Amino acid sequence: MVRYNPTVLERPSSINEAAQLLKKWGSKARIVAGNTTIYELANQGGLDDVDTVIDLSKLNLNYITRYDGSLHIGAMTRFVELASSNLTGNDSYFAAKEAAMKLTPPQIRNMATIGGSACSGIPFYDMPVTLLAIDAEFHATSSDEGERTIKAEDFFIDYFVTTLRAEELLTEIVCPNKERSSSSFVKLGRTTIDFALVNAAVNITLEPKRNRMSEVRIALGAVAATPIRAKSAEDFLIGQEPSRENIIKAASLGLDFEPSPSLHASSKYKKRVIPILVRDALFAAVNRVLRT
Amino acid sequence: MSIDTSKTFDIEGVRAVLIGTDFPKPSTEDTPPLAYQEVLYANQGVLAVAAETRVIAEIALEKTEIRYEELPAIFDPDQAMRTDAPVQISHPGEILEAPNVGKHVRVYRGNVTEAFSQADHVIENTFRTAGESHFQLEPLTFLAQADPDGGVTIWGTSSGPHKTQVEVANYLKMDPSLIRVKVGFLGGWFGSKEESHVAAVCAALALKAKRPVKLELSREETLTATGIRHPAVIHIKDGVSDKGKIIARQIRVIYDGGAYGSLSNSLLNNSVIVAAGVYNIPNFELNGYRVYTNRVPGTPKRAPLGYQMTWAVECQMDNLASTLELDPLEFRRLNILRNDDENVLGEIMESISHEKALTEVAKAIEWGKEAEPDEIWSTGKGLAVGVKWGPAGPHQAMVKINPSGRVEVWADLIENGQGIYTGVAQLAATEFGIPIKSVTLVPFIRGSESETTGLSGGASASRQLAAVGKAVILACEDAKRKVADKAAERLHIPPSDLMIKAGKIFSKTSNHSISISDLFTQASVLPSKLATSSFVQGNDFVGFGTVLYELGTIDNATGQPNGPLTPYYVTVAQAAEVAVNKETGKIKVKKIAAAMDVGKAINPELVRHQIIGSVVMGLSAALAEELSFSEGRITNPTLADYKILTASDIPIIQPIIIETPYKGGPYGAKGAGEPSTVPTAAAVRNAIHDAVGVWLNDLPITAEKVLEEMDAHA
Repeated sequence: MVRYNPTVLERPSSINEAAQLLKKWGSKARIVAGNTTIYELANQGGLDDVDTVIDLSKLNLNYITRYDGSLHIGAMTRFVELASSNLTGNDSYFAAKEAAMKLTPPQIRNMATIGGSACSGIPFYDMPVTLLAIDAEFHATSSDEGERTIKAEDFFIDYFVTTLRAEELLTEIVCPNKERSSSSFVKLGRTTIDFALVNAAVNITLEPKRNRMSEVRIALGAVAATPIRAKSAEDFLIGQEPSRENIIKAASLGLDFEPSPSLHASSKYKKRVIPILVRDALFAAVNRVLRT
Repeated sequence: MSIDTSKTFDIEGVRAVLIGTDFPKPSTEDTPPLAYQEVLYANQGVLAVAAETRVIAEIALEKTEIRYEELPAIFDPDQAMRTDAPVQISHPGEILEAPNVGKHVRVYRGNVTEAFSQADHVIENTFRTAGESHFQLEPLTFLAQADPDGGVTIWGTSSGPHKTQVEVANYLKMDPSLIRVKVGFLGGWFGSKEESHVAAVCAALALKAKRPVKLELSREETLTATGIRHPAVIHIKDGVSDKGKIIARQIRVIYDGGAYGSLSNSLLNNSVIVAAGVYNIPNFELNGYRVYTNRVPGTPKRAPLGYQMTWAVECQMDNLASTLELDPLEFRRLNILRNDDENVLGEIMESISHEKALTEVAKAIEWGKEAEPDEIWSTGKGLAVGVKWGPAGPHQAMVKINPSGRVEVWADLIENGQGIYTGVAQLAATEFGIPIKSVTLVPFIRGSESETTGLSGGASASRQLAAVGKAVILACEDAKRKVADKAAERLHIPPSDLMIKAGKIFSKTSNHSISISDLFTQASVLPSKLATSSFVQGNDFVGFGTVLYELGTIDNATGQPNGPLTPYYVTVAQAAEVAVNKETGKIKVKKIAAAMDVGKAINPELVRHQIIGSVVMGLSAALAEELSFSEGRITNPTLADYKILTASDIPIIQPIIIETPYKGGPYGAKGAGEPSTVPTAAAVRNAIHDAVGVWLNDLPITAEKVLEEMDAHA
């Protein structure tokens, strides 16, 4: 039986008003963006204590812009817009576009938002792992403490938990542009329309004058309570040439921990396929950066 | 279990409350409307409340106190069959030969033991199928209203109004003629709407509340509480000669049918028909068990219990071919049943085309032609062949000719997306030589109604075109005879010299003719020209047709049936081409060629779509669908966790129609709705073996299972 039965719908028309409403209602309120995850959470009984819904659709947080090379994505931007925008083609954050394009089914792609995807704190979603890999920053605001910027590293805390406080609102996600940098996202699901059994996103940056990697970020999803970085593989690759051999070696270093099992994939299977996903994501990113 | 409903009425707006013991004591093994004193499976209905609004009903449910005393439960059919099983489930009227064995069927032919001792190879394997949901789009929904004569009318998601009528009458111990059932278009069913316990709850609430009551199950309730495809464990032991002839086969199959008998017990013969109808094997034994456990009852899903058997037999066939180092196609040909062969049930096979179907599908995927080698994706091809049975019982139809020549067909026809209205209208139009638009199918206009249409088992067993359609043709012939008799009087020509076409009656030997409208008398029902009506003096031009299939039963002592178990066999064969990712185990099905012998394709386009739809369902079962259980509870009752294939996962499907006429069918046609779902999973599994050399014996086949097997054999 669905007990989720909110009685108040708030539709603030400014960020300030939204922040004040969040302060007023506290944990009794939930923000709705694309209305996709919240539906499933409600079905699972995870929102029984919620009596107020705050709809952000009037805040004009639906935008994609670029300045200083960085990509600024409003929290209410839908996946379909991210997938089709011609501003998201830059290699450094191309993985975000790839993740948006690969989100199925199209009905969800048309409704779900990047902010909602990040704030849900669901570790097998495609966008959190991607945002971690491309070194995104999260802009949040609250009526008491104003704006703050959070690194992707610090944003995801646990299953369904992010660093955002109950009265805090995510407004924008910024994807930095790095020179000679490239990213990629890959996913393994059971069927075409499926959550990831495992997903991976990578971002590599080459030194300015030679083909050696100065920065490598490899993030994995659906393996722990948050998206998580494969540090051993990253450390191995830094300072190395992006050769086929190096990538295969790095990918095989895998994880330093047991990936969490799910209904559809055991820990053993995840361990078995993670190196393949990491390898493929690195190959794709390297091919892209060397091509230019 | 004790239920205290004293507070259920505390909230205003509650109109009726029912618990299991408000219904007559169960008298059969069928799932009762609500649990009767004991709950036998998780999510079984225990309490029903009718209220002015849904919210009031939900509050009333919460105010009701239900206390359970936890009793031991059994979830594993193997354990359930042991003599010391801690739980023994049985139902009124049942005498079980062993603990929890709702039904046992035994077939025996020749001498299996002796043949095994003479065989060059004896090979045995165990195969498993998963519990599945039907996942039809439309969940179970009923609306009921008390009638002034003490009866009740039920509108709802039923696979057949007559079946629901008699089942609800039995649940409520009422005269069946007081139960009226109307069925409109269904949003798919695949067997999920076969049983009537939910309809009985709705009807009983309406009778008690004296108000119309709507009862709509959620997706989750439909999935967890009303029946699943029977999980099965099938063990096959074969004795084969070096030359590739199967000389003995022994099968032991156990179906987990859940806590109630429902349709599982009566359907056990389906597995026999499938095991008997494909290969020519001189020595044969089959023991089939339908076992009770404390799980949601099994209910028919597209080719019930035969689907599971085909999976096992067709997997085993490739294992045998591999041991003998024979081509799987050649090995099947060496053992296949042909027309005029006698099968292990003593039936002489007719109107089958197993060999032709196999040959056609093999050709369609270029059997024997190797794919280009690829570093990551390994390609393979696989085959499977199978049969599907036909319906049992009575089927009636009535046809009425109107003065304009328009023909009305009154028959129990359920349209659930397959195009049955088109097919049957074609039959009547052909019989009368009129365009299809001059046929009125009454169920199309009014829904299928228990009180106005002839008897039928509804849509189950792919019976509608084959059996109801045949009854419609017989009714057309009867009506035409009556027209001819009347025309003969008027034309002074013997009726045998007359034929009917396009609204006219013609002499076959002279140029005399008369139109049907001229056989009617014109008269006014009121003194007004506008109120002039036509009628037939004497006999109405109404024809009736009945088809009755009386089938045999198996005597376990002799191991043989006392008559045919099916009116006909439908041949199906499929060939699959798959690619397997050697690194992740992921399976991409590239193509399925699917042949079905429908006897006669009344509407070839609709037949092709039945083939495609069946293959899609078969693929989804092969690669994705599985209900997970924990202590008898289904743990994945949502689409987020219960995986089904969708359009983007579906490969090229090439339907191939074969026509070997069946003399009892309309123009030779047989039922086409279910058969093509039977061989898909085995064809894919055999192709996976061809690609990467591993055998997968348990459904569904997942990437993880493939990779695990590959690692184990590396």
